[in-house]
Amino acid sequence: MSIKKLVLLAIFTAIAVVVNILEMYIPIIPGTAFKIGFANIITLIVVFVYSPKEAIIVGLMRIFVAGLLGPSGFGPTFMLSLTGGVFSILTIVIVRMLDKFSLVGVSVMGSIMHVFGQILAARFIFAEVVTFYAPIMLFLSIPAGIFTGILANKFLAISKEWFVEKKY
Amino acid sequence: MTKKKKNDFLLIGVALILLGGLLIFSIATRVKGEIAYVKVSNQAVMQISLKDGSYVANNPSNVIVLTEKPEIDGFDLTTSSEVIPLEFGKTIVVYQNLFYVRGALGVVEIQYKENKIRVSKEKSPYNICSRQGYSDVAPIVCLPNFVTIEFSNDTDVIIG
Repeated sequence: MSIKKLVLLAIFTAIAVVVNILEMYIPIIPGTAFKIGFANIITLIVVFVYSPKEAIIVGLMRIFVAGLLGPSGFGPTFMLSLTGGVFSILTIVIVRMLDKFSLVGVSVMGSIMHVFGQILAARFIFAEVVTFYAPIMLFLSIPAGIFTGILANKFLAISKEWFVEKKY
Repeated sequence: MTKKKKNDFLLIGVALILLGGLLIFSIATRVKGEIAYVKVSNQAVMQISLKDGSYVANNPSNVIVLTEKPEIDGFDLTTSSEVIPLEFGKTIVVYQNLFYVRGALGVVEIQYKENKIRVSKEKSPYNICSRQGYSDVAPIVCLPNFVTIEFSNDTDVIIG
């Protein structure tokens, strides 16, 4: 792994951690835990620029470090975050490897599976009652996935040359 | 349009139809509750009637009725004369239309008002359940506290 790649991946992980923590303080729909999932943009960028391996490492690092530094710590919400994150990262990686969808499609799949994983975890770890929120959360994950996909696309368009490995 | 972009639109279209259908179905089949079940760690501890705010505790010996409004102090309640420790999943403290149970992070204050219920005070990182406000349909979920309030109009449900 080149130093440039190492540094970029480290910066991406750091940005994802900060975004992940900040996002919880900015409620999109007040009184709900719904969020857009901006931290997932980083996973998308990494899987498209580098490879599934890097995306899995950066994605998991983000979840654990955000759990360590965030206000919830490793409480019950961390388990939901981890399950949702693992579902979403694996989906993004698999859909990316299938190579049938563009970035927005991959993002939407990841977003839907993130909610699915979270609801599943909450249902079994916590209480059945959370499934009440499953339909609305799953539906809202579609526009959220489209939005993060478009943002990741825009970012990739302006940052292509960052990732070129120059020979000095 | 490239093949992949077409696939994207197809995927989004199918997802919108399927999940939109699920959403409409879930909203259409919603029923307004008449009874609120307060659960701690997924075990019902009490039920509150939304008609008049009367309550039935799972175990009446765990109920403490106060005549003065208590203050929340971490995991305990304090009044001018005493400190009341709350036992997780057991103790219920009642003062008029306010109900107190112990959550995983501190005391959770539940308020009944005009046929609705809300969590008025709780300690959690993001305070999602107290920000939700009054409800009589959507369950109130205090995830970090392991406290939930579910609504049902099934009066025959045996709690426990």
